[in-house]
Amino acid sequence: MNRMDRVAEYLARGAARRLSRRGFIGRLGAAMMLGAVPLLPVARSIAATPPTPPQPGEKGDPTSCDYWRYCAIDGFLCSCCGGSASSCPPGTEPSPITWIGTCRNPVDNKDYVISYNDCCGKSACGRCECTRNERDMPVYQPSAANDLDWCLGTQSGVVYNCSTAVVLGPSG
Amino acid sequence: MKRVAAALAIGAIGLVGLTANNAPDPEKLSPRMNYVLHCQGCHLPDGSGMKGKVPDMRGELGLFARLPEGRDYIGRVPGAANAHLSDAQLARVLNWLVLEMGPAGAGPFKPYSAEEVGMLRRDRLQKVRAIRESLLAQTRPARRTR
Repeated sequence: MNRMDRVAEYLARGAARRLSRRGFIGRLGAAMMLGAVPLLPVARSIAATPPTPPQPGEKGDPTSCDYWRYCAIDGFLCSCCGGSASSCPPGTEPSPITWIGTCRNPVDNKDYVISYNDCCGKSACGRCECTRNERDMPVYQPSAANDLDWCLGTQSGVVYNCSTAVVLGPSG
Repeated sequence: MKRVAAALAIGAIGLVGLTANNAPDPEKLSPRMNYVLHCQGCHLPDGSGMKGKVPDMRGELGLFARLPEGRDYIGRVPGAANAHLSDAQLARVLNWLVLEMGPAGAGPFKPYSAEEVGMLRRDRLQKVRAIRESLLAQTRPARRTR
């Protein structure tokens, strides 16, 4: 038993002399850091992909006026302005009140309800101006007029930046 | 004012291209879908609207509908009267919406007929806000007890 104690004591003292506790914590920290680093470029590579690749069941280029969701759009495409076909660019606010229409998806030839939410709070984006006014009504029919500045519904006032086209679901 | 005039002019030009070639036929759509297409843009999916701009219909519409003055108001308010729906389609949307917005258990509700809606919407409201305020005052006790 004594011998076992001596061996254990010898090993423990040897380890205590050679290894510092702080050193161990430092190395552990470094190892965890190295483990975390590869995660970062993954996020960057996602950010580098083009904005809104079409969802499954869609085809076309969301940065082109011909994209099926834009059948009734009148304004600048958010997908050309730092946002996407369904999200606002950073620093702008989506208008909660919108103009709603329907567009036919050429992939399945069905009509879908599209909400054209304006993004507001920064000056007009100016890129990818599209005017496809299917079923647009004159402004004396305000609920169906896409000439209106729908930003009137936001906190940031009426400064219009660009338009999104959010698919709300199949119509019918 | 100049901008409004310009917008009106643009709107008038836009009218020429208004052939609803692939628009879904409202007759074939459910009242809910007609609400989505014709009302939801301003009233929002849940009817909550926008404070100060679009009234909140939740827990309110059902109380209005049970007052004679409120029943008239719902059919004559510009959003309903101007909607691009036939009288029958609008009646179906309103009948669905009154029950949908509640409050639940507000008592029996006699559905609108196409004729009634047709008569009401042709006499569109002018002083919307004043009438709404009066209806809100009349329904306040009911809303408070909810």
